Amino acid sequence: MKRAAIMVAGALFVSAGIASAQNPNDAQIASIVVTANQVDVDAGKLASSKATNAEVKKFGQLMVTDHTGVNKSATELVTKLKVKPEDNPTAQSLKKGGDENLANLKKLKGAEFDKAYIDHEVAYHQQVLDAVDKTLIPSAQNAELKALLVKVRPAFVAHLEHAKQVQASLEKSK
Amino acid sequence: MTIPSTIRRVVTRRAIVGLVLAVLTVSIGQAAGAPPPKRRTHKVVMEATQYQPATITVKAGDTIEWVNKDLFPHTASSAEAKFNSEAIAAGATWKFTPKVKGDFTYTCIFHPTMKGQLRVQ
Repeated sequence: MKRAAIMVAGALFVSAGIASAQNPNDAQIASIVVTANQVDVDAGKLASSKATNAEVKKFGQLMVTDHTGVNKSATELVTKLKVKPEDNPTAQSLKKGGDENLANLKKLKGAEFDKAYIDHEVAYHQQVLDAVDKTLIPSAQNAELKALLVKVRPAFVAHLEHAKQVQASLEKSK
Repeated sequence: MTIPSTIRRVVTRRAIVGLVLAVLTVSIGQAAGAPPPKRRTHKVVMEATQYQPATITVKAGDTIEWVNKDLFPHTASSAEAKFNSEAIAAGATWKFTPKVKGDFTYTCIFHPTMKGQLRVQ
């Protein structure tokens, strides 16, 4: 029961994290993008070392690789555009949600860890996609920043689909 | 009527020389005039976590070049066609020249939602 409560709490961190995005400016979008990627890199690092299921472990490694790649490009772009990422409530709550998720995951092990991690990845990617579609892309003013968001969006879709496949395979193997 | 042996030898020698010249002419003509089989290079772009085009039709001996325009690595891997690019880094390319005809599916070992089809004719 306690474990189940911890896992539900993990999923809730996600909705709390992105709900507050409201017409951010480009500097704030840059901060949100970098934070959102870093949060998933950090969770992926934990999963790649702690997951017991091979697919979950591979997925964690993939998140580290892909979101590091996206952040590298995002950082190069904001440097080129001379945009200084500006901290904002959305980025802060993303970071807070990510930290809480990590703290939650660190309490779990084995199959419980695997399930909690992948459930959170499904919810997180869905929430990030919603934010990209409803807030970040419509709000971005700089054409190159908007283009970067459009370019990385399909990766979030692919990650979401992939996470759902892993989630379904965990359910089957119960 | 019998043909003198001297004449027979001359005719035979001329026939042989003629035949050799004819063979040489045909061979040289083929070497110089016949076009070599055309080998094309086809491009598949890996972008938006997809292969574009998703299906590519080539001739055996043609080369396919996969170009990764995404921000992270992909692969082009097929157990059926026995090729595996391993990781193609962001911005990098990988080439493969299929020799065996057939229809093959391939995928990215990192991103299982990426699916491609290779038709070798």
